[in-house]
Amino acid sequence: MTTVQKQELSVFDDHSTLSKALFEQGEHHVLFVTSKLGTSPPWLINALVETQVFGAPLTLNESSSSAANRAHSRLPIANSDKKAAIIASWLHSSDYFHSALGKLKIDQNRYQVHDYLTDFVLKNHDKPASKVLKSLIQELTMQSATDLLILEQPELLMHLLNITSDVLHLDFINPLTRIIPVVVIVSYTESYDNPGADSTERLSPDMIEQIRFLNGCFFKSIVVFGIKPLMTGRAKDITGTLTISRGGASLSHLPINVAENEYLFHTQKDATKLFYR
Amino acid sequence: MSFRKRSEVLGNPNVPRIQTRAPLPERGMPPQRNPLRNDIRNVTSRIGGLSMRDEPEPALATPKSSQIDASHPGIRPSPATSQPTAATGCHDLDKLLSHMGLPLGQLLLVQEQSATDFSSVIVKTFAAQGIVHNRIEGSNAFTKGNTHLVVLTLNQSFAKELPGVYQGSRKDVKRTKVSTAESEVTVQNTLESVALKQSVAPKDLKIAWRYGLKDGSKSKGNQKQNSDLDTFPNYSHTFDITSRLVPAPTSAELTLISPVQTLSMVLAQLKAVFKKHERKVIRVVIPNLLHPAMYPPKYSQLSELLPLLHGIRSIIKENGDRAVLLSTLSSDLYSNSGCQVLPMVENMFDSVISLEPFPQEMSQFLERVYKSQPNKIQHGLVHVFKLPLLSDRGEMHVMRSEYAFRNGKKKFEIEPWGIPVDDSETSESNSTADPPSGQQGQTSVSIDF
Amino acid sequence: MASTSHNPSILLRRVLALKESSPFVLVVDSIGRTGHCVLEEVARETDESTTIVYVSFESTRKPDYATYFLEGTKSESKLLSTIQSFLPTPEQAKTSKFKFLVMIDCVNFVAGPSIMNLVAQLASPTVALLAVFHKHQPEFRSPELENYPSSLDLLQFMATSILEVQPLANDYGSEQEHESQLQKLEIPRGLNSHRYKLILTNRRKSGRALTYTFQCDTQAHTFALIQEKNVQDGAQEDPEMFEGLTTFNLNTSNKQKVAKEQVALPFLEAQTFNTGGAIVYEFEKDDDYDEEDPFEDPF
Repeated sequence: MTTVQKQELSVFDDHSTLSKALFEQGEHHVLFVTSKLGTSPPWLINALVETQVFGAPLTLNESSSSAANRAHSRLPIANSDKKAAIIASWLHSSDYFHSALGKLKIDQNRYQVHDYLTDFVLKNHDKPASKVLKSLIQELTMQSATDLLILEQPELLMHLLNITSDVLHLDFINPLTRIIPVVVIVSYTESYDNPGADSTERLSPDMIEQIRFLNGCFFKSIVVFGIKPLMTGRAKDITGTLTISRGGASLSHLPINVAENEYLFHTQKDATKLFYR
Repeated sequence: MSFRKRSEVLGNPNVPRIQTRAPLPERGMPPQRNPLRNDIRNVTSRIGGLSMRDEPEPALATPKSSQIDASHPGIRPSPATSQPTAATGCHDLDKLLSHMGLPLGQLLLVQEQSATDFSSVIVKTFAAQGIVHNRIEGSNAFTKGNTHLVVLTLNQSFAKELPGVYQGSRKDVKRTKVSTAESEVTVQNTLESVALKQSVAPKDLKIAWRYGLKDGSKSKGNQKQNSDLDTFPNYSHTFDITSRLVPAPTSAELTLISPVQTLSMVLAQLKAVFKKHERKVIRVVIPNLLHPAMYPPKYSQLSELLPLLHGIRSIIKENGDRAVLLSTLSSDLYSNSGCQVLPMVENMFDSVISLEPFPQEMSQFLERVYKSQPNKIQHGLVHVFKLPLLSDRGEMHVMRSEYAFRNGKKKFEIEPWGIPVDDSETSESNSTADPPSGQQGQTSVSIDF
Repeated sequence: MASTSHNPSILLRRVLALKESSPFVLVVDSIGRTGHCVLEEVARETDESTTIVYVSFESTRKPDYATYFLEGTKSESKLLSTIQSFLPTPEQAKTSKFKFLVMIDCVNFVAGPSIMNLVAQLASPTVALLAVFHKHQPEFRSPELENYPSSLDLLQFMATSILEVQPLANDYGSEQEHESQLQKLEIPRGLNSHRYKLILTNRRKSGRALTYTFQCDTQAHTFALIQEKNVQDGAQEDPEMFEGLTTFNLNTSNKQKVAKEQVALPFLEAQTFNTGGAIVYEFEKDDDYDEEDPFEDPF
């Protein structure tokens, strides 16, 4: 792979990862990250946080040591009391993110992690779901100054609170997107299998809810980051592919467009490199 | 127990007592008891597949600190990420996980296809390994100890079913006694035995090399293992699944929690264990998750099952510096297409492997191929879906049908899988075609090396 | 009215501009091409004076063309009363010269049987209803409604015009590939682009349906009719094909054809596995055994 040119992650046609146009007054957008078995997305989550903090996903674009140097020479893009990003995870504890983002030399004050793994069930198991959702929204939007909210596997809420996908969308995702400019939904789509409307196959209720939730996320999003392993399976120097494609929501009111692209990537020892396909 | 009698003949009063409990050296033992330690080390070393009868004693006394990971006999740094890692009780599984164990704070799921129960071997050795670690420090283990085992099961006799540490084959046990006597005498004695061993070795190997016991390639691996064993002498043990751990663990070492109480009860009891054993490594085992005989049907609902797993995961992660979890699941029951149980359960674990026992045809084929070496017959495939820590940071470690497992009396082995050549058929056809020349040719080639 | 509809492009423009008497227009979309483009076209084509009530279940951003923006709720009666508060009463409607349009950006959120009620209550000569439905969104069906038609069937039955949008596929192969990728929610590149395929089904008063397919462009706002090509199935052997080519007789008789079909091809043999694809190596007397090679098979 040494001869192959490393690529920088650009999502929009103004060569940015998170375009400024997304954060204009009154704009609300959803980004959707799908991952499969064998290719977890922590590096992409980290890159998005990094983009918010430093202005670009430095570690993706360069080796991490030089990135750190550049980071020091760069001024933070926003005033420091405003959190650059908020991460809410139902799968990982806050230590997990602190250690990963700490390695990228991101100051803990620049972002916030809501740990909805630790004791989430103990605290919320017997409460009515609507109440839990309301208090979650309140917690997540207290820092109303944030521009970027990353939700890791919010679909778990369907089972943890025993609610339908529609309730989760209408009473949780929608209120959040109304308040926060950019919401990133990170979902695990390994078991997604939608035979389509023309098929006579009967789907299990669990599957129906999952498809409805994930489809809903797609229709809301302006861009989809699809991470999946190679079709051929495990390879030594390639972990998988990252496909950037347009989502279901319209971008016609914005001056930017999604730059559809497909990268090969290789993740090893906390470092990820992108290559052109 | 037969060896108790034999050891009485040998007249070493220390041997039977220690061996029946846990044949392991005690930390900080007075030096005059070295012979005994030597004896035990021989057992453990042979288990590791090498003979280090004559190795100089490594410095066993490591400085004790309050930190679990530094001095705990069952914890070592992972060679891949240097995170503290706990032994699973199965050496090959340790290797497969590519951390030489299960890193602390990680959850491992072992799925098993078909109705077999090979995974129970992994569960039992994982549990027994914890108990053995706990008893390493000798008599105060029952009161203080360094490891606690939590089992989420309804099986009240789980503790009595744990396997004991492998003592070697009958011949081995005998030889161990002899070598103990030898090593007791002088250094010269040991030198002699080196010479003896070397002179004997080639004779054995003449035949052995033909069966793939290639000395050169293996000794490299041995050396590595060797140094591992020096640094972490009590890290991993070998268990004899036909024996029993004596005495059986008591409530001081093991806590049974019923997984089918109300969710908050299960979680509260689990939390209480962590609080009660504050300085210990806690090994949590959930054998046969969702087994229909144990779990009522409502647990197949994701809204019942996922909160339970989520809660348990939360507690393990909260105590990420001293807890590991192993769970097993019969995947055939939940593998019909479109069923969300398996992917959702897998999602809750950091590491997932799957055992696929061979169907009848394949087993028969292997039996035929390995007619002369029945101990080479594998019992099924091992698929890897997720590896601890590595998968979680985005690396791709899905390996289907790359490994095979074999369950033996003393070992649950996992090795790279390849379909063996069926030479029983070909040799038969050979011998009928031109019997004398073909066979002579073969033997002459192999002997005149 | 009927005379103008002979030209499909004009018919489409009239439907989009709400000039055709079509109180309920259904937009059917899928992940490959979402229906926003049609909503935007309709908003562009209609009169400036039209009041657009946008009911949103998905977007939380008010589109520029919407007069009123409503958030969708799960409760169907509440939803209906909120929408109706923006619409004229039947008495007002008789005198009102302005048109009203209700856009619902995804009716999948309304449970099956209540859709009937919603459509019946909203659509009227003065109020046009434009609803987007995601085609491949499965829905939960309770056992007592087992035989009730699905939401899609219901909506398609009631709609006076159906606009189905699809991605513009280059060829049949890539279409198949996209479909199988979307089944696993792997979104390929090139979908949801500004060029798409639109299938218009317009119901006449009699209920007879006219169907036309267009290729559309959201940037140029053009709609070009795609003529259905009658592609002949070329796989069939045509006896006349060989006629007059050579002096040989290249045709096969029926008897010859039967014989041809009965020939067992060699690769069929290879598909019956006996030893699981093992590489069978037979040791022969001239083979030498390399003892240095660690990978050498020890027989």
